[in-house]
Amino acid sequence: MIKLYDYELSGNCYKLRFFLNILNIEYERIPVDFYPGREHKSDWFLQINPLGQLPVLDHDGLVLRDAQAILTYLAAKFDATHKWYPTRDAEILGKINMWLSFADSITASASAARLHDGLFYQLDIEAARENAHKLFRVLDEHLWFAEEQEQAWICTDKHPTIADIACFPYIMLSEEGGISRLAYPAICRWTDRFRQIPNFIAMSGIFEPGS
Amino acid sequence: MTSALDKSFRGWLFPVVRSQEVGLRHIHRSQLLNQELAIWRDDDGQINAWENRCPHRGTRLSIGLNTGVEIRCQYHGWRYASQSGQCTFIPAHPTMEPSPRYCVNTFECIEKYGYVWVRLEKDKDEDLEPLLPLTEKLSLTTLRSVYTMASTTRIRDWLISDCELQIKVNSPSLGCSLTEIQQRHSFCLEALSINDQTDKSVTMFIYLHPLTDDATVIHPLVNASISPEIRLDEFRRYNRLFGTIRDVCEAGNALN
Repeated sequence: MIKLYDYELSGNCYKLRFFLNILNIEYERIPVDFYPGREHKSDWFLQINPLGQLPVLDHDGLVLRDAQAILTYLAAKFDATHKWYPTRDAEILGKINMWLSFADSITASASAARLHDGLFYQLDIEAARENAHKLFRVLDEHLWFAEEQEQAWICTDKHPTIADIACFPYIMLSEEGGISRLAYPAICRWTDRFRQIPNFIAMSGIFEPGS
Repeated sequence: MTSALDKSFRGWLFPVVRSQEVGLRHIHRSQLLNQELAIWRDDDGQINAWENRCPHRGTRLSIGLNTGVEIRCQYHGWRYASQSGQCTFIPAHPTMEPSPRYCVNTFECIEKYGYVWVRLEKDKDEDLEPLLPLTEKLSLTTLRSVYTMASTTRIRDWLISDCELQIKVNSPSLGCSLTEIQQRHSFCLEALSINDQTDKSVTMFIYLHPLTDDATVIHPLVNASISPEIRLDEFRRYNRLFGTIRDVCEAGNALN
């Protein structure tokens, strides 16, 4: 049985709730009181992840932290289509991992800004927003040129990969950290496409596309 | 400092977005002269430029749903018909005909030369050719629009006075340079773009679309058809050029 240590408002946890739903995998959600309880820094949780971060996945004793790492495990283990993380295609794997790292930078900037504005975290908010804008500018240009080549996704043309999952939630939630996406129309079109993925699920602040 | 966003400009037609970027069931969010806009196309292809504000509780329409015939507001599901902006349905009162006063504020918009053009207010002196210097005789290709955190005035003034020289200095890495940069009207410049490798030159139009007092979209287009084999390379080249123009204008104070 897969156990997911989860917090409802976490974009990183959402990535896994989303992907587990796509893969149609049953799992047990173990809620951790991130705010205001700071339970992710409690002794019992630090035993599970010494970094004190969510999400954590426990698959029959295999314990993984880091949303991006967990996405790769789930894809490699359970994705029968081999499309979300094509382990036999070195070129695409390289690209996906490049953008998984990029997604981590989005967490460090856009998610930080959201924590500041929404959960009153103390941090350099101007730097967080500025860094987010730099990243969004890079992704917008990348996606614009991808569209020119009939490529709908960050790394691939027809089918999304875990790179798209990794980048999506904190971009979609950016306004909650005071980061407007008005200057990034290619990103906006990509988020529209992402929300059309079959079996898309919502979270607070991320709406279902409607019919 | 006189704002470039003089009230009289509200009667002008501005290019706001490339037509091909307003796709099926999408809502393009933008601004014009500090006015927030939601731009969308219905399934018959008719373009709409609306104030980005639901008449009910002020929610941004751009986070709502384009159903192909109307916009459905995300929060309470109120629906507004294409073209008229009239509210056609209120889920909380499904049998009631919505009052005519529930109507989105709509703006005049047309599609031409590859762009959606928007005007915020009726122009008293209706211009017969409002989109000059663009004409039907030209063979235009729109390039990537570049969002720039600088005022329209700064960008225009820099393009006219300093751009040619500064770009020439940088041009070996850019692959092209600009020359003969001249103003055609307050928001349109014309220039000659020279490809460094081939020495070929092409006429370019540079439109400046004021989002707010501090932000502008640069919409460049060339008077040329670009063949498919070189299209990507050409787009990248021009994108590097205008990215450099953006970076210099954003650095701003250091220049003047």
